[in-house]
Amino acid sequence: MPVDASTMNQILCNVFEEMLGMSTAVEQPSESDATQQRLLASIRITGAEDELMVLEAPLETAQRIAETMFAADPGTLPDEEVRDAVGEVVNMIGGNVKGTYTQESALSLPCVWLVPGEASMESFEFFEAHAIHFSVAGCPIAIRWTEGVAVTA
Amino acid sequence: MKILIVDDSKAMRMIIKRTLGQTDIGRCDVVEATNGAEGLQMVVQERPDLVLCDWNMPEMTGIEFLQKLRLTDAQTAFGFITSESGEETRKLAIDSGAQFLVTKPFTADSLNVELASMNA
Repeated sequence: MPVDASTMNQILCNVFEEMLGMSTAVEQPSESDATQQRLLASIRITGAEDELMVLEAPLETAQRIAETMFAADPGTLPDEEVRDAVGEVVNMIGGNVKGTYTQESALSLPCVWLVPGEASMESFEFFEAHAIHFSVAGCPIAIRWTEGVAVTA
Repeated sequence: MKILIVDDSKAMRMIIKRTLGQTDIGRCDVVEATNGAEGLQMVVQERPDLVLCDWNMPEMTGIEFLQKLRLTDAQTAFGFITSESGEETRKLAIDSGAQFLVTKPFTADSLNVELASMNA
């Protein structure tokens, strides 16, 4: 059974506010969200529970998160390190969700990929089971999660 | 004190290193590895006093690393810093020879508590 929104909110708060010192606030999705180049980072829990989580971050947000994690100056990080940082964020989220389960399950490694600006999240409609749109240090970001589904290219 | 940080995420290795500087552990030398297999080699080469290790990593996981390490080395202190947080995971870690498990996300305070208990 997918984790509830309140639990997910607490996990996001723990990751961004307590650990990274970045403020968060729940937001409404904006029109511009769908047209920007963005990073998607996914992680899956399998076993007695089966859940898929996808973090969707506009490139600017992803860079901001990575710069905080690496304590780097703006615009200085290579793409690889931005992907690494966002992957680690979704890894922490997935691990904490898994920690709420009582039955045995396994956590995948995170997978991060770049989505071009012309693609829209309508391609990922199956993730709409649950979603929280929020901001991190004023930058938009979203987490979507659902019971596991088969993902095909 | 020499500490080996084993994590496939460079960002997380950076955060752990920075957070160590905010704990009471004092001055330490830090060496790094990106998975368990590399970690095993680094233990032999670098002889760290403490290993801080992730759980889920490609090539060799943290628990596989610990179990292999304990076949030949019962001395080197070992702690997990991982997003894995279930009781079963914690029990497996301790039964396999880890001193502690800190769940990500973590703070300097939570890491400090575990480091202090290790020295007690």
